[in-house]
Amino acid sequence: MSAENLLTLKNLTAGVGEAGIEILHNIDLRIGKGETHVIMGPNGAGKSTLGYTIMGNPLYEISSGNIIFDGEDITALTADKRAKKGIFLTFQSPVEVPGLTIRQFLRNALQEIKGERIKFSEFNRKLRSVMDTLSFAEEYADRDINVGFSGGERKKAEILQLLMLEPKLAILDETDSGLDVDAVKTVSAGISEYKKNKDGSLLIITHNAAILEALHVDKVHVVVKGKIVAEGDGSLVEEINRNGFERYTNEQ
Amino acid sequence: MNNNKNSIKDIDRTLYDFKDDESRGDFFREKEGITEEIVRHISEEKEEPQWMLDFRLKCLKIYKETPMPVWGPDISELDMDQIASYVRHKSEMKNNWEDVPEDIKNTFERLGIPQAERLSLAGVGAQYDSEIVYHNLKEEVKKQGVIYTDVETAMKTGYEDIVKDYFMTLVLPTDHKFAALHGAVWSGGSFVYVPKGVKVDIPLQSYFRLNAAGAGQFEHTLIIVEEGADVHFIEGCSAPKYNVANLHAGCVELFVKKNARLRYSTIENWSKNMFNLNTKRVVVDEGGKMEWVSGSFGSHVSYLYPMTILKGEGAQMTYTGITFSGEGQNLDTGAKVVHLAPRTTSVITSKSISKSGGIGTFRSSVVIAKQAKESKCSVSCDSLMLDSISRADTVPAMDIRAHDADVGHEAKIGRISDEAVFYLMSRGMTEEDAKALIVSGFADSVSKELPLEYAVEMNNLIKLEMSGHKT
Amino acid sequence: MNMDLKVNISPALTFSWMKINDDHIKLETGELGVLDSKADIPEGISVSKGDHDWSKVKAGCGKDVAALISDVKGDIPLFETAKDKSYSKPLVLRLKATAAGVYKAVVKLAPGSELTVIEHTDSDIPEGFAAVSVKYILGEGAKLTLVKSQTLGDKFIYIDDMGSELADNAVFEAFRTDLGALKAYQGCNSELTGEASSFKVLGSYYLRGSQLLDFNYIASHDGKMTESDMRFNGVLKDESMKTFRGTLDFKSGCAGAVGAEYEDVMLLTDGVGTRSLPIILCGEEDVVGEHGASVGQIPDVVLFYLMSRGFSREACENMLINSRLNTTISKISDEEIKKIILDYLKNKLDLRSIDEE
Repeated sequence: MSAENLLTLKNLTAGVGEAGIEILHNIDLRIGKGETHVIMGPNGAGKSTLGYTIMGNPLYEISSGNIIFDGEDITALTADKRAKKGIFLTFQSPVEVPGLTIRQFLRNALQEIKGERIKFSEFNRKLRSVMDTLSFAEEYADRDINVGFSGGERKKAEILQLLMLEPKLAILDETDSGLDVDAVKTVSAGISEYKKNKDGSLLIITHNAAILEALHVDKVHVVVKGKIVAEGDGSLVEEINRNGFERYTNEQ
Repeated sequence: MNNNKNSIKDIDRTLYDFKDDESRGDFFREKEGITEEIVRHISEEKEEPQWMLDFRLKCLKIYKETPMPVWGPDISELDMDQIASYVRHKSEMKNNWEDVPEDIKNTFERLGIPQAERLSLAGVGAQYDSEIVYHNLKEEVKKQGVIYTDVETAMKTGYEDIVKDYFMTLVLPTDHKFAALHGAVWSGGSFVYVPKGVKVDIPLQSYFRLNAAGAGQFEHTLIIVEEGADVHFIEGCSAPKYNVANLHAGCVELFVKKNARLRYSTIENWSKNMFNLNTKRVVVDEGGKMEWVSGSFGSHVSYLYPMTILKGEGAQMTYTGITFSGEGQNLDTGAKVVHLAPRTTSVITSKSISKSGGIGTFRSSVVIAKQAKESKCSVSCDSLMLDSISRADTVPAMDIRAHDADVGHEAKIGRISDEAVFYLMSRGMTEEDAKALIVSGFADSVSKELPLEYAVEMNNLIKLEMSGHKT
Repeated sequence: MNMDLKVNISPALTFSWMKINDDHIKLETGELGVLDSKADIPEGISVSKGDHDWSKVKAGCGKDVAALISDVKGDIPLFETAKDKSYSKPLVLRLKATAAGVYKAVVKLAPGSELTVIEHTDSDIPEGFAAVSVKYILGEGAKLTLVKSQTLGDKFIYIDDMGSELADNAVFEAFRTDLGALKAYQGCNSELTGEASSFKVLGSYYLRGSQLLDFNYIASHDGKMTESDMRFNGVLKDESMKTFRGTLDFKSGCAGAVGAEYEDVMLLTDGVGTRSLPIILCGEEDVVGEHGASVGQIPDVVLFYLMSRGFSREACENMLINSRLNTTISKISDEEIKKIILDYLKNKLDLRSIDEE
């Protein structure tokens, strides 16, 4: 592991607000620039919570530990500040905003993140090209964000945002679940487009291997009951596909 | 009369329709109408303290000055000059079924009340027309300091101060015409006091039976659940059918103190000549919890909206109700809630079924005051129309003054899906059974909140209503 | 003149203590005149006198308002389309309120015709009384799109008393944006008499200061397979207050009818008030009626989603208010009116437009 550090989770413990129910226990994780990591684990293991916690969902409270991103402690930052530093999370159920088109939303988001005005012409050119990569009909750009979208379209719209906002770390939360073969292909195409930037890091949360096929995976972390119980290289994905999580859950 | 049908678990309308002959001389009956003379006489009969008589007379005055409500079902058929406000069997209250006069005991036995007491109740009260005829509380519950009697007895046995402190302080006589009427001629009912920290594991039950034709029943229920205490109170009501109007204008006042819990379940099965103009209200202190469970099947006209005042921080309320309106019925039911303190929550769930020309109205009000910060309320009401000669109306009102409140509201009106009926018929059911099954399923969220024998009774009532047999 | 009007009376009454069954307007004004109006009339629309039709169609504010408007002298224009004609240009009604005035008109769509009506009411003066009552009569298969907006002066009292009648297969779709006036009352009655006729309205509003907005919408389903859909999305700030009354009235015989009413009210600050009385009256078995309301602050999940894309809390709020209003503003195809609205947002409401370069 020679890559420069991008994200470090140090002994991170987090839970749900007032009730203080711990979901993640003492997580240690390090992602280097340009690396691709995969989080696997059975349902309810705390995988999505991990993604939310890195992004800064106020629903989850960090009781101990730190999140270091790009050399800076971001544990106390709100989600918008983290987004500006270059973290992006795809949502399993993206929110609908009637009256706000994808085009308007993305241009404004990009301006927030870059902190500068972006010309319409320049923005539209880029949007067109990214939508093309995702075989997303351009008319979608002028539809209200996620309103009336199918499951597949929502996922595609999330990948579209990922490619437009060009984060340093993209966390994909079950982006492949519930998609048909074609949609998985499109999502995969989007991921490889993102990986064209050599420094772009990926944290893929999944329990399905389909979108991992075309990717070089640097490291796999197996999460069970809120703890990292095993780690290994890309071969661990196949091992789990063959044998499931039983080995790890039984150890608990 | 079918003598096999004397258990609550196997019900038939005929079960409620038998009546005792009032003319045999065992009964005392005030003459019809509401006058000062009658009010004074009721008070005298009860040997009440002066303050109660004064209060009754004040209520009478308010009653005469207050107009009829301008909204809700028509009650112009109700002629107050034809209602006898007080009818009493000439016997004292007993605490042993054996001592209850034969005719009255038979009535309650047919309704299954003594059997239920033996099986699953901590205490039972039974009111027959205007007076309580039976009251009993299990010895171990008595030992915990629980008081369960009627309001009159409570006043005479050392609890006059408590009665004075609470009686009609929550439901004021000025609230509406029938609250004032109640205050003037109230009689019988229940007085329950659960001391601090006492948890009563099995329910208390009061059963109200109005036997006399053209009479009114005005029982008063006063329940005080002290800090940290917990109790379940069940009320059942029935009456035989007459061709003249009967009136029920009861009043229920409940006080749930800090961290206490009260569940109040009602199965109302008044006969279809009854005007049911009942007022129920609770005030819930900090951390307290009120649970209403309500099934309305009977009566000709009902106005019934249990009201909850969430006064203390974190107080909670749930209302789960079902109303089945059949032929000749206009049942206007629902719930009211007022959030007065921060982080209070309320959940109102209502189901309504209209059939054979019945009119069912769900009516609610939700008020969230400015100081009720971060309060939550969710209202959902479903109405099922079983034919096109019936009506199902939904009239929910909300008034929200706290900007950080979280309020969700859903209402739906529809009919039984043809597809669902077809599916069940394809599995061998008759159309009638299929529909009854679907309606039972629709009512499931309410019946599962009821004690088992009541859930069974409710399902039987639904089957009875669905089979189209008239009473 | 001295006014004491009972306005926006709900078709079904409830608990009197909630004081939600109706509202009262007590007001002293000068003699009521006629609002200044300018109409852009597309070619092929005939204009005649519409007094008879205007009186015939029932509106939503109630009889006091109907009588008040009716008593004001002046011609009632009747704009009438030609049969089966589809108009590419909209009929634009530009209404300029005076100290005390009313505007009445009738728009009648001949069978098979299609028209868009854009109606905008504003004022050059801050204070006054304006009552607008346009009645819409849709013939068989006619299709009407109505885009209404209002940016009256801050101290205006505004009444909009609308009524419509729909024949078989007629489709009426309305979009309205309400921003101005101190007190605004919208009454709207739709008689879905024709089979398979449809009435839909989408409204947005943003109230602040001590503004009050009071609705009374009634969809009366008489015809079989009729459809109604009433949706209002609003934002409340400061001490503003909104009262929504909506009634789906399924009359016996309207088999196959479908009706829905939805409200989404975003509460921004302490001190606001929102009241609702969403009624469903049902005398027919074969219908589907639905009501939904959601009242509160911006939901946490929405806030987190938007913030995770780089928007600050303030930016999210600004964007969500904008997007709400935009659902109806985007339907205004008249550039002049659209500019008035966008300028109003920017100058009066300090809302940064999402599309700003």
